[in-house]
Amino acid sequence: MHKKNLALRLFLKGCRYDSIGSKRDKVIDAYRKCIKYDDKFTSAYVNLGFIYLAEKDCERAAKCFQDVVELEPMNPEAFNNLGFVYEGMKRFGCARQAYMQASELDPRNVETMLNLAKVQELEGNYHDAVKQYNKAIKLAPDNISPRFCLAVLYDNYDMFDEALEEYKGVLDRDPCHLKALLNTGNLYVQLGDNDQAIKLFKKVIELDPDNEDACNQLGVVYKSIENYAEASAAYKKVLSLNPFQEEAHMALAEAQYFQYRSKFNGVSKEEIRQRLDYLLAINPDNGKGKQLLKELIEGTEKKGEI
Amino acid sequence: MYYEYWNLKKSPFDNVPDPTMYAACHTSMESAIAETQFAIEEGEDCLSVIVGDVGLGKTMSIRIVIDSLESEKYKIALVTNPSTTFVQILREIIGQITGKPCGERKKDDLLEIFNRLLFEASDEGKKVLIFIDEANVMSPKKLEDLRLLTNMQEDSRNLFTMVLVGQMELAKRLEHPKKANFFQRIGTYCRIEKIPTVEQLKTYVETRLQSAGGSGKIFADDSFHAMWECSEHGVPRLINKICKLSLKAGETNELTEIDGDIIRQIGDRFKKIMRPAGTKRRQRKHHENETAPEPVKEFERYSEANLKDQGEKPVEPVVETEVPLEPVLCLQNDGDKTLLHESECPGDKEMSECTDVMTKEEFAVHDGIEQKIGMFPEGARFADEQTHSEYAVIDEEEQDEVNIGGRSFQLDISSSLIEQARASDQDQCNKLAGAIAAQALRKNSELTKVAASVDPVPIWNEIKKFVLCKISG
Repeated sequence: MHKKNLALRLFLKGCRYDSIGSKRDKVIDAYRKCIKYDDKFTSAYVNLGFIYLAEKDCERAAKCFQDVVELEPMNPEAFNNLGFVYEGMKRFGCARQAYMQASELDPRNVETMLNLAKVQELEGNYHDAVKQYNKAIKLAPDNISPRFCLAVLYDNYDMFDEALEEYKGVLDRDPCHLKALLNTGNLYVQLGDNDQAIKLFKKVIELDPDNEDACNQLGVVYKSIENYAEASAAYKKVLSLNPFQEEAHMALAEAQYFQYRSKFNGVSKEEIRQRLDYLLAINPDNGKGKQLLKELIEGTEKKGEI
Repeated sequence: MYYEYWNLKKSPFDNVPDPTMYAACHTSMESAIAETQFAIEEGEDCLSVIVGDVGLGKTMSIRIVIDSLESEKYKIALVTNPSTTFVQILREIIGQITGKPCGERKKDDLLEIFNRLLFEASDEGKKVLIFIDEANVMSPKKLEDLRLLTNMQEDSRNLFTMVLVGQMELAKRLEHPKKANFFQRIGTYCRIEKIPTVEQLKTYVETRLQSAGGSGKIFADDSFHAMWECSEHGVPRLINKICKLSLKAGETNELTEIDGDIIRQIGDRFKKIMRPAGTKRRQRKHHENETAPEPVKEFERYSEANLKDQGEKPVEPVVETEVPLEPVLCLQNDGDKTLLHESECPGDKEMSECTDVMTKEEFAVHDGIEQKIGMFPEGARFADEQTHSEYAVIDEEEQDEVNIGGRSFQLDISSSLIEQARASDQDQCNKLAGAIAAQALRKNSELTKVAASVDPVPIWNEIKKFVLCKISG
């Protein structure tokens, strides 16, 4: 009894050290001593496991969670934790087995279904992953996570209609889900519905003005429909967020070049040339940049501007 | 559904594992599947290999093989990340076969367990199958360790089959003369390739259409060449995607045939599409309990709150920011202020300083990307190339303070570099100045935050002008 009390004290000490950000050695020492006095103190194993995991010492973390599984063989969470460590070690087969054991213990646990589906996805097991996600959706129709994960899975496998439907389901429940909005926008680009795509990318930017991906994609769509002024604006926005992105500089130079050629807008040749010179200064091997600079110079020579 | 518009019974170009869609289509993939199935079910040898470039269907092939097997006859282990140690791989295999995590750490003990498992499985009338995907990441030493596993095979019984799947690096390793021992033990060796010709691509597309119940002509003759061009010359995954999107576009636009122009339009569309954004796996919190310890219940990796943590932010439309071309910098040359443009020059010393001599290595690294030596401007020489020690020391007089938007930084150009630039023609001189300016700007990236515009181009241009002034003396 005395030993158990001592173990509890040491556990609480470990928790306190952990919460105030003490040195890991001290925290680990407290939990290990706790386990020494009471080798059935599950929470100490769990916390110790997560400390090792944070230090990327997966071997020790797995050992801790394995001990928890042995102490609490009927606790699905213990198997979920063990599966999570194996997943981190990229031992997907063992992770899958741990999640399956968790699922056997609690077949209605949506969390476990998602874990299992994710691992199946990583193993290239598309059909079973779809089944798991659908099972989770059926059990928790208003939970966004399984629906979104399923949508991404469909998207990765080019199942356009199915992905759109699931993203729609996510957005019906959360109209501000940025990733769903962005991914749906990209799907519309592939399906050739540029108006819908623009609407969605703009909505993402409205909700998150610093969303670089949305700005970039907006630029891509505007360029594809030959609205070069808007494309330039979108790429400038990207550069305002990340000034040294070579691809955005190249895309902006291209958009500005087409804008310049179209004569509808007052973009100057010198501005484009400076950007291309800069691009070639940071990467002298940029073939597209070289080609565009050549076209710019030759084009203006033809016009008699040089 | 779009395929009904084309009088098809099912979707013909889905990129998902479907054994019914591979017959007589992608010949090399079909052979790989059939030969691997044969090696597992009938073969005498215990090693089977599938190699091929990225995106050609290797993983899908092993998935089709696994799905086709009768589960009561086999004990299967699938290792998808063999970059770990051989001991870890063995533990993973044993864990998957037994259904219990393997705690053993010693290689010899693990080999013994593995050996025992093979016989136990055989006694149960089952065969052990080990699939190792991405085997190209395995070192030659690990491959040799795997070869040793094959020694456990009995002469009279085929206890297990190991299927190695990987990119072409695996083929190179296996075909190396030093790996002759390994190579001899390979029963089937398959190479998955792209669809090799436009003609075969046409057969591939038409066969899939027939498998989906199609009978009429859907793709015009000129579409196949376009498909070939847009699919990186026959990558099946891309062909499927292009065909599927084309059929959908055809339905939307009520077309009766898909021609080359449509294919090219579709091909252009997805060139710049990024991969869908997914969720991040999140770790759960530690257990903190001030009263009594309990098993932790919360598991926050898929917390709804995390996904919903995207609250409303102030609405800000996309703005068209014009790039100002006006100079935004003033120069201080050896203490004498030389104004290129009117601006304040408080000379903030907090800015990072460039005090080192520019070496070829420094010059080569922009944003972590190493450039090849051949990319340096012709005629440019670097401090680390000089034979005279005098070049390695920066002349104090060569240090200049450059001020941009009220922030100053030290710009050092070694006298040797200046001499080199002076000796070269105008074009080379310009390139050199541009490269020096780009490097200086990268080192002082904060400048984009204090200047009139965050666009680095005008700032770079001003630094370049300064460098050119310096060179011209």
